[in-house]
Amino acid sequence: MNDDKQKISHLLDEYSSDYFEKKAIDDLLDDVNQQYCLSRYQMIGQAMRHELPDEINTGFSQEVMSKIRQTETLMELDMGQKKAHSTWRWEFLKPLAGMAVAASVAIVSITLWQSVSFTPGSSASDVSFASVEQQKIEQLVNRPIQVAVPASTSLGNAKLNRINKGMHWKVIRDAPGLERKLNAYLINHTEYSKSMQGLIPQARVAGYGAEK
Amino acid sequence: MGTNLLDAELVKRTQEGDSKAFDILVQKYQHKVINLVGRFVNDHSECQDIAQDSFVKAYRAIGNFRGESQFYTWLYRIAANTAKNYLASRSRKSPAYTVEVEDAEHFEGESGLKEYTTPENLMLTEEIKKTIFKAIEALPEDLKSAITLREIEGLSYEEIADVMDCPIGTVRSRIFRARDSIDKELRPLLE
Repeated sequence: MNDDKQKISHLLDEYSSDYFEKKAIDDLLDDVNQQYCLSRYQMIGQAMRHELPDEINTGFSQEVMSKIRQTETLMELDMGQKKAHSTWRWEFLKPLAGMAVAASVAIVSITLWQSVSFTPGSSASDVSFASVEQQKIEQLVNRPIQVAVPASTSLGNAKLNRINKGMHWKVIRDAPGLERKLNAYLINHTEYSKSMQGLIPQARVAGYGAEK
Repeated sequence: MGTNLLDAELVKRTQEGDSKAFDILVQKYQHKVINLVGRFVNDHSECQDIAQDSFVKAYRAIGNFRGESQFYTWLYRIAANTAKNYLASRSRKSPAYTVEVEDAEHFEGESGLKEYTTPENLMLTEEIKKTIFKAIEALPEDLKSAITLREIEGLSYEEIADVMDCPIGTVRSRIFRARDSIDKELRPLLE
């Protein structure tokens, strides 16, 4: 303990090497008894120089540090509330934003399917809507094709015959409800490609070309 | 080694987030700041509050302290401005209003009785002063000379060694022994 007090006395007069001083400060900050000792040594010098006030408040530094901690706590609470409020708002809006985007895409998909014009020879891209060539559909419909299908068919009233080269489906285009069913298929099978632009709808359409 | 390197190191550690370092600075300068504020404000409890607010302001602004001046000079300005702002907010017309910051330490302030809220602290202060001076008087002459040359005259260890015609190590030892002897009398009053 005497060595510690000597170090404090030297520290007070700043007669130490750089390393020794830093080490002494480390020890001082970790030991409250050394801090009290430093405070008393300082008080001795202040009394000799008549620098002591008429009334000493021995709890002054504790009151100051307490005020500082209160100020820091209030600032942290304020920052935390602001952050939580902005986080809450963003977390709440994200699913709503997603649903709004999905709904608008679905509406656009339906609108485009109903009004899209098909160009012969146009190539279907990965992100194109309902890429069925109208001309091929006409050809398919008018060509006599012998098709064989299982009895349980989702096409309902479509007439099918077996041919020699595998199985094909004949689509009777003017079959009642066919267009409605095709539209429903496209809507139900709309998918979303993973692209940099975000949600982009696409649909997989089973090709029913007769050349296969 | 120059003066106030201890302050510089404590400020640096405070800026790094160590509030205990700032606590030591508060203990070191609290009486000086209170004395300074007391030249503007008579009421003792208000003086304490203003002094404490000055330290709080200094802590919050410590990140802006670049070390271009001594820490106490910077703290002094904060305390003087805090006291002047307090007076302005109370709308007092006082000669202290027009005192320049640089002259504040020499300003006598308002005359009149000061208000003390804690008579016990007043008695304790008197007791502390009396104990210290009594302990100094009781010191051996070489110890009394060494500590007087250091604390009152502000001489360096080398200068004291030159005055007292002894090695620097002896000076260092004498000053420590003087402090330790006085502290033995002072410590019971503060525990």
